Amino acid sequence: MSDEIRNEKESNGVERRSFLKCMAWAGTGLVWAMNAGVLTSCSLLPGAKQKGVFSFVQISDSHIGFNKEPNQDVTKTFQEAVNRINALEEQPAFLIHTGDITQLSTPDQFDTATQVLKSAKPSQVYYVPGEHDVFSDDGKIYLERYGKGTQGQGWRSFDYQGVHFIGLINVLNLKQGTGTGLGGSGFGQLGNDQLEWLEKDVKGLSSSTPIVVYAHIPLWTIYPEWGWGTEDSAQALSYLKRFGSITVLNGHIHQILQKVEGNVTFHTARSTAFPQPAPGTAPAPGPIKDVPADKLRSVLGLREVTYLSNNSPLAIVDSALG
Amino acid sequence: MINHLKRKLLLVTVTSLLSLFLAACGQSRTDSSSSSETSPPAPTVSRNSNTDMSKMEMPAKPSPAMGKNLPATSNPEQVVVENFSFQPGTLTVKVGTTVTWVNHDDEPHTVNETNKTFKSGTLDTDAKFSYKFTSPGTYSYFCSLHPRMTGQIIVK
Repeated sequence: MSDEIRNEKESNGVERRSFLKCMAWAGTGLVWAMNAGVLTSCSLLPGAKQKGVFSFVQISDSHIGFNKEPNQDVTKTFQEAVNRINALEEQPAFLIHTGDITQLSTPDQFDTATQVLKSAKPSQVYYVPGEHDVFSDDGKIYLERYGKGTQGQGWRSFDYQGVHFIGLINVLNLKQGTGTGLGGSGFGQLGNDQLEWLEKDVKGLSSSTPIVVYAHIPLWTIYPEWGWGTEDSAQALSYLKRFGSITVLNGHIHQILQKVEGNVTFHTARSTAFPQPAPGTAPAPGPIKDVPADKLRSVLGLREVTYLSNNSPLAIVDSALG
Repeated sequence: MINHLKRKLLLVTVTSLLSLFLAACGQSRTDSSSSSETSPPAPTVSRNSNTDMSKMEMPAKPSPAMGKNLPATSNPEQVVVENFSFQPGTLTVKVGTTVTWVNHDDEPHTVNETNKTFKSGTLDTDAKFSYKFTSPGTYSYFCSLHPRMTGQIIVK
């Protein structure tokens, strides 16, 4: 099965079968639907014509420039993801790319990514960088291209139909790991400037405002041994805990994982380029090389999220490329 | 068409001349490095010297011609980057040794000294980076892309 459904709301009375049917396009991203502060899944898409409904798509880890096993043409699979988005009956309001746009942050790799995304029907794309987009020049090229309208070193927030979106950057100035303990493992970090900005950014918001946070490295500790976590994410989440609905979208680990903690739902997305091993199942993170060509697209994906203005939960649909 | 061919031939000639020149460069560089002891001050002391690229023995991504023609130093030492780790993790060398890092992973890595004494830039698969240690001390370094990857060079 190529689709994975998260947060499906039983009370909708939508049977799983019809749910899957509506997701027949089974693409490379994830559509998120916001429903009164909670992300809802495709099962609610038929109601998408209701007032106040919108959806958006998360794509991640396109790694343009990567050309080794198991995927020697990551531009092609990235384009396939965009084609899936364009084939959606209800077009998403915008796209969110959660980083590692490129493999080596070179201008030509950024150009290729931009070129592919130009073919997407939604013209608005919000980005946060991954460490691959900033490591060679501390984010200079990235900021030149994607920094317009952002704060500080590239973070931003925006509102869309009552939902407050926050794009955080946790891949800059990564500190040397010591190999032990939290923060000693080469984690992502947000930094004091960004945390201060975040605290101010949400201060005036009503606690009933639905919050969507997106960042590259997971904002919860998935696997410290591989640095899969963010050193100061707890501080960031402490500013958000008064809100009734917080959805956190991350990339980086090239696989779908989910965790619910109080009002916070954490999700990681698939890559459009290559899969990575489950935490601890390999000596090191990195591309899983021995994926058979005919299976590759089943481990790549995108995520669709739809939001409805009622009390249903916000659901998330992760779809494989094939 | 003929013009185009001519240009190609010319290019080939220039390229081969260039590699000859580079080969000569590599040779002379080794000669001078073995004889000259007028190296910059100890890297550990110059904490804010972010521009110590001049001390690099060769660029992060050497051209094949340069790589082949760069003669082995008198005391070659190598650190292999493999499976997201530096091997050996600790390497002890004598003052004046040039250490070369080579990336055998399919992932890019970097070699960044903690105090920014040296910085390799992007090392994609099979790329190399070399640095000559002219002062004694312990040099800790990490990969800026995967900061959990760390190593150290002890120079005696």
